[in-house]
Parts: sequence; C-alpha cells; structure tokens
Amino acid sequence: MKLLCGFTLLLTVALAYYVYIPLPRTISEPWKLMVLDATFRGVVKMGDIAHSLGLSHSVHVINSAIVGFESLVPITNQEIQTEDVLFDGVHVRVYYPQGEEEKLRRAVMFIHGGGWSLGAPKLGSYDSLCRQMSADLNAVVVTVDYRMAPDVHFPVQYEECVQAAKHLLKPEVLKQYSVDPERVAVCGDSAGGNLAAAVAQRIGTENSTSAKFKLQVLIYPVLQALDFNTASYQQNHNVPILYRRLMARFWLEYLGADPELAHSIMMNNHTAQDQNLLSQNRAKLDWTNLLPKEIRKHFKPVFPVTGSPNILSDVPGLLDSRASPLLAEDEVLRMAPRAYIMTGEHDVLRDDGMMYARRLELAGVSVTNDHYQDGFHGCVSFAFWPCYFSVGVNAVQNYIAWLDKHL
Amino acid sequence: MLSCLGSPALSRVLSSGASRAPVAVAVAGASRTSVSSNSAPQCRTLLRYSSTAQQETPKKTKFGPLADQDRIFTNLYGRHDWRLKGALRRGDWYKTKEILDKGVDWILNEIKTSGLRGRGGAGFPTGMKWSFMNKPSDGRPKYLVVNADEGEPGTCKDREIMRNDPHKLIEGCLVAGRAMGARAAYIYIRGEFYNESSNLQVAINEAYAAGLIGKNACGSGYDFDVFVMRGAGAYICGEETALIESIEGKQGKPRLKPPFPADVGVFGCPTTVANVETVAVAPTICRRGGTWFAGFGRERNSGTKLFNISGHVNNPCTVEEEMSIPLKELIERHAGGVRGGWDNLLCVIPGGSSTPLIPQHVCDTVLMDFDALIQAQTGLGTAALIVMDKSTDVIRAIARLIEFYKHESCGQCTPCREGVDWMNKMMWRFVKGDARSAEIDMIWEISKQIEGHTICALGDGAAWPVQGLIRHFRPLMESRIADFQQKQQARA
Repeated sequence: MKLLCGFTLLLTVALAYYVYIPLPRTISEPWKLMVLDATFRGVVKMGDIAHSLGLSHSVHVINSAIVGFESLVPITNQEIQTEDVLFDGVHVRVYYPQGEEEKLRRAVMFIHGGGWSLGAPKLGSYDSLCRQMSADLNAVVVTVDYRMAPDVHFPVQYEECVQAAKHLLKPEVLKQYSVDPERVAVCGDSAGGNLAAAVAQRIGTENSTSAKFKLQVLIYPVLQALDFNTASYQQNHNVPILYRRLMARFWLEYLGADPELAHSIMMNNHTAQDQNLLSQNRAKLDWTNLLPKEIRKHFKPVFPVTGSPNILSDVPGLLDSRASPLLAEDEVLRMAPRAYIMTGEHDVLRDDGMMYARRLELAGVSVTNDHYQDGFHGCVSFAFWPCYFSVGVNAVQNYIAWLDKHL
Repeated sequence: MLSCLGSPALSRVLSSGASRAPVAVAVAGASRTSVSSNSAPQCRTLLRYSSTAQQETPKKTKFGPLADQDRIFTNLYGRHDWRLKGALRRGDWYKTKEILDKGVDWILNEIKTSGLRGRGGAGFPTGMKWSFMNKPSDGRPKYLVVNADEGEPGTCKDREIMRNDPHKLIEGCLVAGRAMGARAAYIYIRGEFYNESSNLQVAINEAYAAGLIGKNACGSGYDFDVFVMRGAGAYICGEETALIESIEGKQGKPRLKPPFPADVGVFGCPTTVANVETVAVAPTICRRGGTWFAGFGRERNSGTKLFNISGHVNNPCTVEEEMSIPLKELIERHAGGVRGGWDNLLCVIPGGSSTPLIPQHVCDTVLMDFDALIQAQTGLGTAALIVMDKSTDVIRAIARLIEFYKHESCGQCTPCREGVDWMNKMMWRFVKGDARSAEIDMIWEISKQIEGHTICALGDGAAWPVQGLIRHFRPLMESRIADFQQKQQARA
C-alpha cells in the first residue's frame, strides 16, 4: 500500500515535471497549452524512437498519430457538401453550400499548414475550418491536399498548389462551381501561408490565367529561412507549439537538406557576414528597419562574422523566393493581391508576417495586419474540438469577418 | 418583384434605371440599333435583382463615357476664364477652409478611400505615399515638390492643367501639403513651358493676394507657400531625385537611393515628389468624397484620368475619361477614330514613349488602366496614347525614340550612357535592314542589361520600347533584314 502510494506520487511528480514549461504571462490559457504541448512532444519522441530503430520515418509516425486523432473529431456544419476531385492532377476537396446555383458565389482556396510535412486537410480541425468558412461566407472552399515531405520536397508542394490554383481560376471550372471570377481569395496557415503567399505572387505576376486572386489571407505565415534569430525567434524560441529547432527541421525537410544542418542554420551560420550571395537579400529581411520599435524591444541581429559558406550552395532553395516569399522583389510584391496577415505575439514566426506586411505596404499593396497579443502558433488549428482555445476562436471569427467584408 | 419594391437599395437602382430611360428615348430618334443594344443590359441588370433577396451591389463592368458633371478639370480647353475669378465660379477653392480644418487624418483617409494612384507613371497609391510623410517632425521642415517637368514625347496633360486650370493645382498643393505637414510647395516646371509658367505664376500671385495661400492660408491658421521653379530643359529632371538636385541648383543627375527623398530630399529635408495631375485632383476628391472617386474605374484602378491621344487619329486631343475605359472606345469616341478606320491601325504606344507598344489585336480588348496594361505587357505610364496606322515604319519610329533617349541620357550610369548609344546605332541599322538576325537577340540582351541596372527609371524607359518592338514586330524586322540581304546579293 505504501509502495503504491509512493509509486503514484513519483509518477505524478514526473508527469508534472514533463508537462510544465515556463510560459509568458500574457499567453492564452497556459495550462491547456502545456498539456497539449506535452502530448505533442510525446508523439514526436515516439516518432524519433521509431526513426532511430529504423522502423519508419519519424514524420510518418507523427502523421499517422495526427490522422488517427483527427478522425475522432466530430463533423461540424453538416449541411456543407463536399467532393474530392483532381484539379489538374492535384488532389483537392471542394466544399460548397447547397442550393442557389443561380447566384454567383465567392471562392476561397485554402492551403493547410504543418511544416510542409504534417497535417490532414480533410479531417479534424482543417475540415471544420473549411466548413465554417464555406457556411459563413456562403463560398466555395477548395482545400489542396498536396503531397508532403519527406515523400517529396521543394518545389513539388509549391508547384502542386500553383497547378491547383491555375485550374481553379479557369473559366470553365469557375462556371462549374458558380464562382464569380472577381471574388476569389487564397488562404493558408503556417507553411500553408508560405505556399499561399508564393502562389499569390506567382498568379499575380504571370499572365496565364484570365482571373486573378483578389485577396490573400496569411495566418502566422513562415516566409523566410535566412534569419533564425529575428526578434520573435529570440523571444519565443522555447514557446510551444512551434519551437525554433522544430522550425529549422521543417525547413530542412522541405528543402531536402541534411537534418544535421539544423544547429548551423539556427545560429545563422548560413547567413554569416562574409557571405557575398546575401548582399542583395539582406535589406529585404532587415527586421531592424522593417519592424516597429515596440516589437523589436531590446533584441539585436545575430550574424556570425564567419560561418559555413557551403550551406547556401548545398541548399539553393534557401534563396529561392518561391520557398521564401519575403525575398521577392518589389516588382513582384506590387502585383500581389490585397493581404490580410495574422500574427501572434508568442510565435517564432511573428516577425516574418510583420516584415511581409511592411514590405507589401511599401510596395503599395493594401495590408491588414491583425496582431494577437495572447496568440501562439497554431491557435487557429486548435480553435476546434477538443481544445477550443479562446484566442483561436476569436481569430477565426475575425479573419472570416474580414473575408466577408472584403471578398 | 413586389416584395423587392420596398427595399431602399433596389428602389435606388430602379430610379437610376429609370433615369436612363430618357437617354434611351433620346437615342431612339437617332438609331433603332442603339435602342435595342441599350435596353438589353438594363433588362439583364434588373433581372438580377428580382431573382435574389440579398441586396448586393452589382460589380461595374462597363467603364466610360464620363459624364460632364463628373469631370474634375473644368477648363481643360481654355474656353473659360482661367484666373481666380473664373476658377471660383467653377467651384475651385470652394470650402477649402473646411477641408483643411477637418485635419490631416481625415484628408489622408479620403485619399486612401478614393484609391487614387499616382498619375505620373509608377502608379503608387497616393494616400499611402502621403501618409509616409505624416510623421512627427524632427525639426526639419517638410516640402512638397510638384513634378511639372513634363518632357516625355507624347505627354502633354500637365501643361493643360497649368495653363487653363492653374488654381486646381495650387489648391491641390495646399490640400496635399496640409495632409503631409509640408511648409511649402515647389512646382518644378519644364523650362520650355513659358506660357504655362506665366499663367501659373499669375494664378499664384492672385491666390496670395486673396489670402488663399501664404500666411494663414484660407483662414485655417496654417501657413503655406507655393513657389515656381523653372527647369533648364533636361528630360532627366523628370526623375524625382534629379529634379531635387536641380531645385538645389546642382546638375540634374539622379541620386542613389537610399536615402529616399522622403528622408533626405530638397535642401536635405523630408520631401514628397508628386505629379501635377495627382495633386490637382486631391481637392475635388476631398470635396466630393473618396467613395465618389472610387466609384469610377475598376478596383485598384479607380478614378478619372487625363488621356492624351495623338498620332494617326482624326482628332488628337486631351480628354478626361473614366479609368478602365476600353482603349478602342477611348480612341473612337474622343479622338474621332483611327485615320482610315480601325482596321488601319498598326499599333499604339499607350503610356507615353517609354512604354512598350501593343499591336492592333491587343488594342481591340485592352482596358486603359494600370493592371490591364501591365497584363498586356505594357504600362499605363502617363496615359499618353501615340497611335500609329499602317503607313508607319514602326522600326523607324522606335529608332527615333531611342535617339531621343540617347540624347537625353545624363551620362551618369554606364549601362545607360553606353548601352543606349549602342541600341541607337543598332536600331538605325535595323531601319535599313543592314544587320543579321542574330543581332535582334543581341539588342534584346542589351536592353535587358540596361533595364533595372541604372540609378533611375529612365534607363528602363529607354529599354522598354525596343523590347515592345521585338516582342510584337520581330517578323517585320527579320523580313527587312532578308530584303536588304537580297538587294545586296542582287547588287553583287
């Protein structure tokens, strides 16, 4: 009996130690977030163990866990109809409200996040989100089920999204779904925000489609991989859900690079001061100029004097604006559609979104930047069953309201 | 239908539909075809409403012609008195004090709501550009510089404003200067514009005498001065930093950016350089509301625009028309059509000499606004259309333009100084056909090396006409080379 009590106490202490992480004071619902993150870390640890044992790639393990969990989520907005189709060879799911075929509707192309590696766009929170968008906006919502790393690498994910976008914007497809060609938006969260921004730039500058995107909605987007020590990376590198190390791993997985480089790029060795390739790109993500002072606080840029010059030549995708939309030229940004960018204070990617908002504004594009002081990365995904984070629910409602007003 | 009648939005639309009926009836006397073509769109529009309970404003799909009461410039052709008395009678300086009293934020918000984009070529949103200047002062005064150095071949809209409607520009300087907290406006006018600068100076003197500008302008408590600076004839001074250098008394050569003029401009102080037309329309936008201005043209391409139509048209003119009007309609309605009929059209340079030309099949459908012309691989530029019919030797025309750019290069940048010179030599050889086909690609490559590699945008302006010619008339260039070689063979 005493042994049982002792064992239970020890287990409780160990569990509490594992779950507890110091969090910033202003973050939303910290205990719920801690439990959620502990769950995630457990799954990731299991993935790493399986990977080291050679059973399966860690990403596959994590993905199967996510799919398994997301399958439990109840379906909301049942009246929304869905169909799974191929858009020019790319798997997509189309959500549309029933009835009223006569009137032209709006359309949103949604690209899911998950570090280009994870995520189940047809299940769980993404399914709920798309259904809610379709119902609230009375719009056709197209979600792209692109193939993910490590099965494929950049630029496959990007090209699939571009193909799906071009197909959606074809006059016959728009007519099929009763969509007004002048009222189509592209939307993405996290890595999906990266793809949405790149797709919006591509569609904006090319002349291959008769219709264009009218709006782009970027939800805490990841937009550059040259500086892993922006003010937000320095401030939030240990804040769940997305850690800096995890972001570095996602980038390397996406670009098909050696995972061992994670430590080097986290120290900005790939963008040291002695790199000549970077001179024209530095100004585009100089956060000491692009960010307001209250956001920069006391943080300073981190660029080693000498670094690892071979990283950039080994991984050319780091400098490609299709993978890093923030590196696009001003001429490209000028043709981008009007933007809504959501950022969270406790997010390593806060500065990416804010820099992009500022650069779009300087290029003459109208931008709305919603900044949530209590937001963290992933709050929109966890606005649904079973977490229901209040900041996420609020954020979803706000951006759908913005879309409703401007689309 | 009866249930919809109660809706105020629908009744408003019905009344506007009803107001169109007299126009249709009036047209009935002229032609039955017009009646049938007019009535069809109205029926379609009305049908859309009766089929739905939700009230959504329909998207505008037809642009132009602009009604006279919506024209901002009321004396473009100099038919009325251009002095202060005549300007007051036409509505200039009306309630200007109230506009200024509403404050900086209100003015900026109206300009932003209107969607006005700069009329000088680049098309940057004006409200955003002016709001960059609305920052707390660091002790240095701010200046507004109006770029009236209108030197582009084909462009002649700003001079009409300054000669016939100068008070619109002066009032615009006051409103714009207030919006950005500027102390004074410098209007840098092209040196050759003698009559324009004379009229403008007289108008400024009248405004000072009437207390409209100067100390306590319009009784608003805000001190604002307007000065006219006459240029010395260099085309390069149309570039904003070269213009600033010229105002300061230096050689008119473009500066490196950064620092941008908004930080270090004229006399080392924050400066915004704005186009004449952009500044001149600002008071009317504030008086009639930004949403009124935004009601014209397509989204992101809103408002009215002055178009210069010159070249092979029956009636060359400057006209104020709605943005997004189809190019074909603009030429046929206001310029009397192409000489010899529309089928005789060869190509159009749609935005002043620096924009690439577009051939007839593109002209059939393109709309005259910023985004549509960019999609057609050209640009709106200053909206100065140069129309060429089939009698034109288009290679010679472009060669003549390149000669202009060679002459006007300030010589500061190697790509422009050397590259445009070589382009000029090659173009004149293409006119004769004394060249090889491979040299077409060579001159394309030269133009690509000039574009984007110079301090100012005028290098781009020299490169784009060549690119437009090669893009659309390469077969003509090649056949001329073949003809020349054939003659050479025959002679040998």
